[in-house]
Amino acid sequence: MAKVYDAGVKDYRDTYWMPDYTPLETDLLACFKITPQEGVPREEIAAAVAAESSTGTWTTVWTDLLTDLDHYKGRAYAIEDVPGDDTCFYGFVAYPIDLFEEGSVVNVMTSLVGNVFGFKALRALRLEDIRFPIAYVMTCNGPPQGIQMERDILNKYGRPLLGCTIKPKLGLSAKNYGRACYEGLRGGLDFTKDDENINSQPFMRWRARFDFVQEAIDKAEAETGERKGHYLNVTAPTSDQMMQRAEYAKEIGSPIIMHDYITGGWTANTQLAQWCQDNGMLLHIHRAMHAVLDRNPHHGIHFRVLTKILRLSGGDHLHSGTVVGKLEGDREATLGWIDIMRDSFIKEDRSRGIFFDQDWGSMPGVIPVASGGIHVWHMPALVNIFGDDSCLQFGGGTLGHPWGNAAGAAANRVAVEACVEARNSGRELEKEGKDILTTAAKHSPELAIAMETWKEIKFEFDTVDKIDAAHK
Amino acid sequence: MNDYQSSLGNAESRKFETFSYLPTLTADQMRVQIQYIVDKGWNPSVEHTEPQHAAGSYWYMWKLPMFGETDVDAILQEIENCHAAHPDNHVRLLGLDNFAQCAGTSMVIYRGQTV
Amino acid sequence: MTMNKPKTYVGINNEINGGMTTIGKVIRDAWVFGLIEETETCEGWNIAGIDALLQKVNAEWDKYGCMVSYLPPELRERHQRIHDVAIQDAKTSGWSGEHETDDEDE
Repeated sequence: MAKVYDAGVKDYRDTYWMPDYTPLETDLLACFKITPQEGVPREEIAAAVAAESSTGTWTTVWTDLLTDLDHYKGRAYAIEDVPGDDTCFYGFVAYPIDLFEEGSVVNVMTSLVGNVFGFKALRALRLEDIRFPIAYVMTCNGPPQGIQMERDILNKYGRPLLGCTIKPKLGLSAKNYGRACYEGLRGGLDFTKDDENINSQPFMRWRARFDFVQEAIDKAEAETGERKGHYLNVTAPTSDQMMQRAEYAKEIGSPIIMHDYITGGWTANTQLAQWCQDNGMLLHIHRAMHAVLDRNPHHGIHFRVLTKILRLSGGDHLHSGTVVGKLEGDREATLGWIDIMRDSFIKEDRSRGIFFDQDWGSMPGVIPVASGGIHVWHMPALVNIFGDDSCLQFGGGTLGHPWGNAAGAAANRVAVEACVEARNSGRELEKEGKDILTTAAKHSPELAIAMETWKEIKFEFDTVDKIDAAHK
Repeated sequence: MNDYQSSLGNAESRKFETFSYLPTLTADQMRVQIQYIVDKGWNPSVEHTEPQHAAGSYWYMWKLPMFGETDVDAILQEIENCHAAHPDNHVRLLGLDNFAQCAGTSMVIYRGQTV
Repeated sequence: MTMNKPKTYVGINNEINGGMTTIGKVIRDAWVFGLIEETETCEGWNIAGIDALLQKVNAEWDKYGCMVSYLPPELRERHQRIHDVAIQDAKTSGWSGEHETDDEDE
């Protein structure tokens, strides 16, 4: 007989395990994947998670007589098996909306994941999903402009947007860096992007970079007659410096800036997003550090939660993974969080890892950015999977073109337009991709070279993090 | 030494957003794209502009948007009428998506004297 | 005093990736535009010399909007010939487009 682990969580069960509770429309709901220490009953540990992520720590500070803990407590209201995995289970917790400050993803996450992940009775814990009630959503500012406004600002309709992360050609001078941007934009890109590691180091301070890059944009716009942008990275050591850089980007006429929302922090991000909304700026969001939180299937925070946090905190673009490239994620799960970014109402769908209905009301959507390890042969699948409201970003797939940056950009622009034209004509992109690209390449030597440079892709990667399913 | 034209002076450099990096759509391909707009339930709308003002958001509307029009021939006819009336102007067709409250697509059908 | 890092360029014929590098592309474009002889590998050049060549190549491309399709026929033919050989050589040495994309982050 296994030794019963004394987790000291019995008391929680009496107060926080409420299987008969019906969640309110205004409750914030969370689904945790819970891996308990051996021998701890599920109900007890689920109750402990509810307690430790809400009022459980209050009792040592305040007495029951001064606070109505029954009003503020989290309620563990359901547990479920994890398909195909006996080591863990799903615990569902409802939190009253009064527990949280309005418009503060910082406060929500401090409460929900602030303490409980270090709880001794747990071997591992993962926050799988949160249902933000519409009452709470309405207190958040959300994306600065939204998808439709971005299209109107940039005059881009009926196709995915096209971007590229810039690597300088020779050395790190701001002038050479701006030149690389110009070539990409001149060749047909809508956007170029600062690398997330480029902030304002001694080798290239932000202000010189902003000036040269903006000149590159202006030149490319004048020549092509199309509207262009570069995600100027305003991520900074302090929010004052971040705002200073944002203000300058606006002053010189940049339509869009960029922020790393996890390393930069959600307070800074929410502040920046509100400023962008007030100042007519678009906001591109990078997600450096996300894999620290979302990669382990048993511990951490699932990316669909980080997606919801960003939509509430505010951003117009968010990196989503590509489904098809080297950094491939599970296709269904990725489609799930792409919907969470863009749609106004997402239904519960366990096949895509979505545990709750999510109503965003009138909150604008976020454009998913597919980036990393993709090249021209991925284009048909990307257009099919992501649709028009997306940003497809080919870094090496642009700059690695043997003829140079402008040729790489032109190749991808021709390819994306050919795929859209074919899709609108009712053709099946992933099945007929080769034929579609080959036909388009007859009129584009740049595309023809790109197709010779990269190998036609096959979908044979296994994914790091699959949707939980009975795969025993 | 030749005196080359600058890139800015080369009107061939001018692009027109969606489909402008492809060869000009044939009549048949154009019909298919219009059918796509109709199938999407979008409202077709024809606009035109003097080429020197092409960079602006607002082009002249050629009549009102064709609310609820699903006849591809009728839409093509309006594009032709607009082009005939303004042969030197750019002419574009939009599909207006009244749910998104934004154009679902936009394509330049006729290019005027590009500057 | 000795430095481990070479201060001068190794030459396009001694490059990694069969010459499919940023500097390799600059040198080939310089050949196309006749800025240097096609026999010039730039071996032994210092970084300032390569950068000066890059600026000259940029100025040439600016005449044609950076686009191969806007090159006059003679230059276009030279571009095709020089770059076709380079792509074949690079592939023979084991380079492919995947070198550019496989180790990429987001």
